[in-house]
Amino acid sequence: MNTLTQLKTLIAGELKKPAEELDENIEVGNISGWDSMTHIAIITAIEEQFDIKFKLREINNITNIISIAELVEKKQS
Amino acid sequence: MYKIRKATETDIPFLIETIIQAEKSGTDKLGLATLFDLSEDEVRSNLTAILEEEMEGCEFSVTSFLVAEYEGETVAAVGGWIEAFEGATASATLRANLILFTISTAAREAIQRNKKYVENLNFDREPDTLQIEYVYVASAHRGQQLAGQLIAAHIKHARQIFPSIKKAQVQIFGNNEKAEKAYQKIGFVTQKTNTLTHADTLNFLPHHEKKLMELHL
Repeated sequence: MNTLTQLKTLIAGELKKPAEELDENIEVGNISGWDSMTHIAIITAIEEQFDIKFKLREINNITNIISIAELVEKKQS
Repeated sequence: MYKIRKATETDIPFLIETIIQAEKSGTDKLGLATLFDLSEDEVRSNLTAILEEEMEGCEFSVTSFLVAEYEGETVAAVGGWIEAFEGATASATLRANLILFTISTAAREAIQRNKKYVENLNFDREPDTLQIEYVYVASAHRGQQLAGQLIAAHIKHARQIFPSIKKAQVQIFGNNEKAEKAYQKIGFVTQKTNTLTHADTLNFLPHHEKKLMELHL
């Protein structure tokens, strides 16, 4: 499973909706249910699953799920 | 004589008081503490770090606040910003990022446990609208229409930087009838109410209802 697919599964779980309903191109703030509490849960879950730690400036540059996948891959490389 | 001005770093202690009193909405329930299993002192310390970070475009930013000063003392504050202006990141994301980077692992675990009691209470903030958040006037200076003057100053500023701005929005807890009446007095209209039915919500927040009020500009 590639990073994007893993992320969509994880995020869908946090948002309690099917992964196929998630559009990886939409800005995260515009995804229904993605409020500040859920954002904290999602970022924490990503850090745990991928064993990485984001910096504030990195996480502030996130736009959509694709950008999260790119950031995760960069942190893992 | 009151002077209205933009907040600066020296106002941080007053802004923290503003945020805490507004979050409590006249009760002793501080969601920033209860949901993260933190003491009020820990919240104050985290808010200091957050405000010192200075991230524009959300309620946790010094530059979002206008304050009223009386004889050199800050006595009132109102936060306001244009949501996601010119493609900026949504304020909910900025707020969450700031919280994330100031809380401990234990606090992150606490919010994972507790978020189910407060989910879906807040309204999504509409891009390109003026968002008003955190209104507080020190008790000795109430009754002077300072909050109204500060909101009017936010509207004037928003119009200067974004002349085609269409509306201002504010979200208040359902128990805050005084605030609702004050907003109605300056033209805000209650548009929607979100109500949570979980019995434990009131262990964490001042009220189980939030109201969205709007003012067409």
